[in-house]
Amino acid sequence: MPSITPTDEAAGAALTPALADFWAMDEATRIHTLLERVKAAHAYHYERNTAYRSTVAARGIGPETRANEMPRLLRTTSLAFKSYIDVLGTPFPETRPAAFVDWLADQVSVDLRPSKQRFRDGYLSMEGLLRAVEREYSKLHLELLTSSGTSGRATIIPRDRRTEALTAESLRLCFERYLGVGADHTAIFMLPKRSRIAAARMAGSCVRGMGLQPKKTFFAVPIAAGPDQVRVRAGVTFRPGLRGALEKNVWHSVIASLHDRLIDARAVESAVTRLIPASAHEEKVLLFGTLDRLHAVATFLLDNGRTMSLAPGSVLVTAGGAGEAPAKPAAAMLDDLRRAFTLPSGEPAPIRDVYGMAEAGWAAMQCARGNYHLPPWVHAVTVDDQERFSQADRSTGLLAFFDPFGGGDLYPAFFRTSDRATLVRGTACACGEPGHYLEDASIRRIDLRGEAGCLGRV
Amino acid sequence: MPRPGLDDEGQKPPAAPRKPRARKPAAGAVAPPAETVWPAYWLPAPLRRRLIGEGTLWHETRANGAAGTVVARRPVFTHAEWAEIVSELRAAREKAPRGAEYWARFQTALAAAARRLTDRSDPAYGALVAALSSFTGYSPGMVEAALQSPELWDVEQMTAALRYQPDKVCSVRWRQIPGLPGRIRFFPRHAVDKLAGYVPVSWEMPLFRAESRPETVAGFDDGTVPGGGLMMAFLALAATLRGEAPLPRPVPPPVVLLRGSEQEPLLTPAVLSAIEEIDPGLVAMVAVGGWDDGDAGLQRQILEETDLVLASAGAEDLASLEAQAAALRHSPRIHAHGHKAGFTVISRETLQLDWAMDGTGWTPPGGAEVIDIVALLGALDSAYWDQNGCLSSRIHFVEKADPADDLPAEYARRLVKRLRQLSQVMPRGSWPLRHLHDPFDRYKTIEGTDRWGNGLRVLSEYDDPFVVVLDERTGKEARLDANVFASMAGECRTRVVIVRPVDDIMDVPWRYLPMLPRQTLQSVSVAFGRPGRKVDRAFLDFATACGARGVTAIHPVGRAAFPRLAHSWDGLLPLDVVGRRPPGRFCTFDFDSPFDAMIDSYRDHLALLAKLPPVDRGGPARAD
Repeated sequence: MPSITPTDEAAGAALTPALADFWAMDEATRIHTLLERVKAAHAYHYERNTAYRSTVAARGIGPETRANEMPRLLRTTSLAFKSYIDVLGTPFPETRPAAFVDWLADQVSVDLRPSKQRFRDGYLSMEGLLRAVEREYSKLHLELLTSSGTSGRATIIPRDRRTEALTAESLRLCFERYLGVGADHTAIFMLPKRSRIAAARMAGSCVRGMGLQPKKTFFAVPIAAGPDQVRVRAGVTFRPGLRGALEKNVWHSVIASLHDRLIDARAVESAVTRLIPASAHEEKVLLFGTLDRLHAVATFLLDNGRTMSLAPGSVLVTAGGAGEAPAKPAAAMLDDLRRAFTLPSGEPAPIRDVYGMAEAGWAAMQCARGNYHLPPWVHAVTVDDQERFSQADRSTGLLAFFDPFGGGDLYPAFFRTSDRATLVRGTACACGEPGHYLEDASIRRIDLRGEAGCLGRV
Repeated sequence: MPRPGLDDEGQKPPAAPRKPRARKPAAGAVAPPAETVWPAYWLPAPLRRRLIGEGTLWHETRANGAAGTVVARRPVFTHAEWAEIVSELRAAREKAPRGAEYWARFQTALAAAARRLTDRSDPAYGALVAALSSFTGYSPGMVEAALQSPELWDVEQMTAALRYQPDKVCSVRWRQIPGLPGRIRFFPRHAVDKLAGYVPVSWEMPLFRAESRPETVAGFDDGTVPGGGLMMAFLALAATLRGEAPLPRPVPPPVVLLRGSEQEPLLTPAVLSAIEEIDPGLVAMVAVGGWDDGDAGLQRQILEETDLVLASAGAEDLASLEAQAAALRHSPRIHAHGHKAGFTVISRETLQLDWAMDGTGWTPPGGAEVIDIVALLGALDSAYWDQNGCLSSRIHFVEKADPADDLPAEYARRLVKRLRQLSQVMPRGSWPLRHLHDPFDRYKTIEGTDRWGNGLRVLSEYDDPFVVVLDERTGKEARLDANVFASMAGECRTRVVIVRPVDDIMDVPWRYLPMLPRQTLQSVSVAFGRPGRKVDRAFLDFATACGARGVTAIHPVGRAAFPRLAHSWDGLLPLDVVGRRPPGRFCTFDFDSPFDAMIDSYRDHLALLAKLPPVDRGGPARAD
């Protein structure tokens, strides 16, 4: 059985087996390989990752783990990436940089501590702090991604070169296999190009992984929102004092208004400007964004009495749900998209949804039958209310996954989401694709705020 | 004993286990468990005979439990049938006894019904406990503890509560209610109403401006706590007591239309059936049923017939109900009971009490230490209803002498032991384990950081069916802001308890309670005073500060789960059913000596807990 520890990989060894090899494995081998990798990743991070170790040790888990202890390895993403709020006692880490770096050092399995004294006593913004941290640890190629959460309290996800490469590879394989998207597509992302928002960074990884040509890749949203703007726009969490009053009473409405009236309109205009030549030249198109953003493009076309004919092989990909306050129900928006985008045959252009988590760097792609196919290098399970894994071939519960690759050398990507879903394994999907999948329309977020898949379809 | 809800006119539940509705099982499928059908409705016998038959259309709700599937079903009536029901109930109401006679007969019948329904030697009792457990999610031990609790069936104090005529002085001073323990104070919304309490002559005037005895009361129960619907029915029926001498002649009890909770639809019909068998005229004006939220026409029809609505539901449902009522030409009054939170406050004077040093000669029951008594009662206040309702205590504030004082930590340790003991007889319900494990993980993360030192400790273990956190964080950085405090309180569900030391019990109303919206505060349980000591100035100051912050009831620790109907429920008295007063809310406490009431509560709970069989967990119980 091929086996390699994260330590070996950190030393520069190639990933073995390669992610793509998992498709070729029979089920027993795949599960065995994955579980071995999970054990190795657990042992590796248990030794190095203070936060992970203290959490699972409190549950009675040691450096070696057995299969029946696997439910106790799962953490919520908020525990891993949002706990700075509890530890620092504030959702504004820029006010306590040293304590924040301490927290970050606890969350990752690499040594960050020696340089922390080089930070200032405080930063004006979270963006300022995150940049300073990235600068300080540039040798590690550390990146800090943030969520686009609605609570205004950012999830902060560390990433390094290796995790970025794994994400790029993971997304490339899934886009190619499940959606048929490759380097010959013209890709239009309804996202900003430069942003530390996790979804945008994942799109960037996707571009690099798929080898999309820069001339044929467009990011339609003209202005990148930083974590501070995202927080203020969410309108839930504001800084204390006068600054908070300004954020609440002035900036919140200004930013919201800017987005509604200017940025969103410019994004639609920019997307349409790219779509028209792509359609004329019969280029295959990947149009990627949240459902409401894609719907805005469709609405623009329909309102102007136009439809767009896209070359065969084109696909509209939605991610991240329907938005906070969608103008229409999701079904109506999808109908508008089908009317606005067609193939030369007159059929509606295919629309696929993506379910995934930036924390792990994988995504489940929706097939033509509506099911979400899980990449085979991820061990997904459903967890019942008593925190047991379901053994049934078709089970509904909270989705949890062990991705022994996704966290790379930084953290174990063993997470329980707050998305309730129906997981099918052992029965091939009607689309013909083998492997495990989540049933169409079965994904529902439950009551745990802040830990659902940030690309989850709600 | 007759089966609860059983009669001979077509209403047959709970039926013997029956086969599920005809549905061809898949090849190789395992037969589904048997179903037991229970009535989720109640009508007086003449109406049942007329309206229930073979052609009745049923609405069914299912719940799976250890004893199989429980089906609660209620008839779906047309608008015309509902009109007929209301008309019949009104006719029956006129023939009913009234005033003191009604209530005396009602008390007798209720006591007999309670004895029947809670007879542990009767197999039907076990069936009722199992069905309630399946529907509500509470453990059978918890349901049994509730049913066996005398407070659930105690309506004796209602007579005094409805004879009381509060004056305007109670806006500025705590007043005694003749015939009832404890005191009452009114916190008016408008300053002018408070001012009236200071002005001679004016202060002697009655607080309630007008009698408004309802002829029809509608109850909307959307809670999980067994007995919520019953409480509404008792409150409404007690309206007949108003009018006893020296007031004019009493009116008959009002017609009561209850929309039962989908989450606990069984107990109210069972109790009403048992009362009907004893004295049918007492409940001939009551109907329990349900109708869909979507049937706006029917809901409007019922609201139009109603003088008063008692509603226990979430904020959205209450807002919707209020909007519907406001749109009517004749708007009924609405008593809304929304989501709230409770807390526990423990004074150091009480906690450190040692009978050997006390000099009063007083000895705690069973020789237990006072700290253990308080810990058991505090544990009960948080364990009952698994903190699902507004009645359970979430954060226990413990007064400490100085930063080095270990008494709060010792209390927290004892609390862990008592919660472990309770879980043997009153296990946590079938709630997701993540409700415990997520806070456990979160607080463990904080515990492990250098930043807080030893300030925060998780005292329970991962596999305990509860979480106890001792939060001794101090200093400027540890000051909780409103968001953190609200989320801390909100996270205390399904037996998550935070023990938070305070320098002075007045910190609770002055520093912590203002961080929550007034309308979300429910009750405060107190361990206060010394043996034999009546309420004193210090206690009244504390109670006043709590009431001013929005607290509506103060109980001795251990009594939060079963508030006394005669006292304030969410700021409303039984008198509010029959009268109109200036806007504001009442706050009451239901004891004359907080310490003695606590000891009484301890004795009662010990007697009750001794009746409950330990749960077989397949292993030895913990020694502690």
